[in-house]
Amino acid sequence: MSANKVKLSTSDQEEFDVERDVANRSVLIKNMLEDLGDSDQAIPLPNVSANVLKKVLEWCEHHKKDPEPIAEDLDDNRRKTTEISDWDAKFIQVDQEMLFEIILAANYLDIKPLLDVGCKTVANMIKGKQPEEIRKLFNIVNDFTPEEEAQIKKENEWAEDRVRLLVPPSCTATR
Amino acid sequence: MPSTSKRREPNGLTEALAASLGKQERKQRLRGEEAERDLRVDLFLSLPFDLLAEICRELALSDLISFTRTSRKFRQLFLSPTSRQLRSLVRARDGYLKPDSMTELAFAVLLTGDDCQVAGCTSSKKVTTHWALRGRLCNDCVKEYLVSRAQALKKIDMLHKKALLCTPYSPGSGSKGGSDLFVKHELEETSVKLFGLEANDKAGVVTTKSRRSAGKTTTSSSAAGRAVDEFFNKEQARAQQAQKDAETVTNGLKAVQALQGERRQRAEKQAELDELLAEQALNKELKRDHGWTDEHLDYVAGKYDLHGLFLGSIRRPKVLPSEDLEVWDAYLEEVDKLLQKHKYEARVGPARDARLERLRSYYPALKDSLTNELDGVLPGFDEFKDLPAVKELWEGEDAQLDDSAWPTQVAVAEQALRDFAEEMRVHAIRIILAADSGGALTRLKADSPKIKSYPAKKYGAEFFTCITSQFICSPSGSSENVIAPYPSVLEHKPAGKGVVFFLESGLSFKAVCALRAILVAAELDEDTATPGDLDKLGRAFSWPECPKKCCKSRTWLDMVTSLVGHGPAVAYLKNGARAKLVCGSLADGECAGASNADVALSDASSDS
Repeated sequence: MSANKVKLSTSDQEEFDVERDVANRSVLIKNMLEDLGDSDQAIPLPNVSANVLKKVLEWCEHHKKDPEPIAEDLDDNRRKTTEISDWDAKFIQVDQEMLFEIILAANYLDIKPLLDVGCKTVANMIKGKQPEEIRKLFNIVNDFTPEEEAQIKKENEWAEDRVRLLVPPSCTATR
Repeated sequence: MPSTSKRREPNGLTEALAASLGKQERKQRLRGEEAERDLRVDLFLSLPFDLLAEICRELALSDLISFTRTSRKFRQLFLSPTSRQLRSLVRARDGYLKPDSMTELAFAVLLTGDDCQVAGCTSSKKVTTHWALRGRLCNDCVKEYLVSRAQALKKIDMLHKKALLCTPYSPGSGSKGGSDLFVKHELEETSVKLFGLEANDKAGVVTTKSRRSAGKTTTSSSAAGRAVDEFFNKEQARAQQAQKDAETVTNGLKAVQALQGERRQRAEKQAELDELLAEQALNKELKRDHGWTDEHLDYVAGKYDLHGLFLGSIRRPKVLPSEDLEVWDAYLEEVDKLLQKHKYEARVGPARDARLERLRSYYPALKDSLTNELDGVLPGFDEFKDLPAVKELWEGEDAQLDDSAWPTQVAVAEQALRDFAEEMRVHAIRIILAADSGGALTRLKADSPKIKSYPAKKYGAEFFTCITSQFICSPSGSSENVIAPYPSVLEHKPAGKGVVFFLESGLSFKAVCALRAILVAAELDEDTATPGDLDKLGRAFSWPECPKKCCKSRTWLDMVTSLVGHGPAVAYLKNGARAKLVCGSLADGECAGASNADVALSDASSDS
């Protein structure tokens, strides 16, 4: 194998020959390559399936020339200001299953910018939605008991001690 | 060999989240992760805690609250005391300052909601958050439950003077505090309490005195008022804390607003910069790979004076050259054409404009010399300069028009004006004939040979002065309508309006039909009647069957314009439907029953 290429093996036993620059976007692979030195051995990625790795490598290929994230970029303030680029937004337009697979793979492979893109995308899906809409979007089962529902509803009312001041004791709640 | 577990360093947040679920459950979750991932229903729940935290860190506080209300698991996960860090993190990131005396949940609910916490209403009424009172109320509830300082002094009968000093209030806009808002019942309750304690204290003093008078052991007079003071001090401290907390929050909100504004500005600037850089990169590519020149780029960038005029309807492609080169080639071709046109204009324009100005200066004298001969049928300068023969004198690149050439060119200009006058005469005749018959004017003015078929002998003064051949117009600056034959009607033509357009708008088939109806009602003959005959009748005409029930009496000319403007459709006139106009003194103030003349007007009601 060429010195510029590395071999990656997926959980479903598929092998990918990848340019070293591309593979190095993953901190996990980069560290492994440094540990292994020059070797023809395929790097096993047991937590990533072939179709997900293909997608992740597509992202890595597009971003192979991006500068390495500097330590300053890793703090929380960066998150709010960094938007998803047009290309990334298009890239991440996949079904929910693939989206979460990409997030998991990015986390496992330690590709922080890709993980950010995935998390931001999920967050954007949640933004501005009511709980019922979020449930519907992610198929989350509403497992609250009626008492818990009532408690949640109450959270939004004026503090109990003040409502007592507003409403004569003989009356029930105004809502 | 790397570990298959996550490699990212755990942080406090992760630990806090992990701790919020039992270790057992976490282990089970991780073990079952692989299998659950295949099920869409559990995709979200299958994410490790640190990834859920990553996602939640991207959310605004309001979204985080919504998210926690989706299922018991998320609620436990994010609202447990151990995950306080996450909420603090989100809040801190957004810049909000939470008072120590408020819980995270109470603060988040008050900060992020938009409904009235008493009535539950949202958008229909203005809802305001009163941080010192820790409530969000609509206007109706404010009126119902809150009271201003000024109102409290007037309306609460038993208001203790100290109650206003030890009850929390929401600051109003007034500088003197008159509009500060208190919770009415709270104020009343505090008053009652103060009065009660005061009474007790007083009773204590009175007892002492009475005992003293009895010569027994006495209570110290300094004890009087102690209970009131203790209560007041405690309540005042509480109220002051509430005001301080409210101030903290509002200062935080202001800071957040400023920060958001700053971020927005920064984002806008960044977007502008990105756009500029993208534009520069594209221009570079166009020049390097696609045959564009600096001139082309400058032209589309609007750097030439006449850019707006010439770029016309062509639009820059929305796709990149790499996506659709053909579109860009076509665009370049168009731009190049316009650029060449622009260059030509730049070269010949100044000399041409000078010739045009010279021609403008010659025109008044030329008009004067021909006014009598052409009965005043002369175009404005803009129409004159565009006459084909005249255009040749000044427009072409090789044209020469100056004081030396003009004496030889004046004959050409004069002939052009004579041709124009003749063309206008023919045009007026066609308009008259079209209005008379209801035929289309376009059919009449088909081609030039027909011009010769309107001899002056047949279409002379008699033809033009017939009442149904005359043009109606309203001279500029006057609201009155006038009627006049061609060509004298041209005296009323507003400057700048073309002769053809002016004539076409002055006579129509509908106007002729209306006029004929009036003539019938007035029992006058179309061939011999003159405008003067109808003028003599004054405001004698009315239309009893007007759909608007307006049977106002009008002059004949006003009636014509009224019927043309608001009367029945011309289709009804052509179909011969009948309507009734009334002429005569009986018509004044009456709507029907006078001597009706059947006229060729449509049924008024059918047109309403």
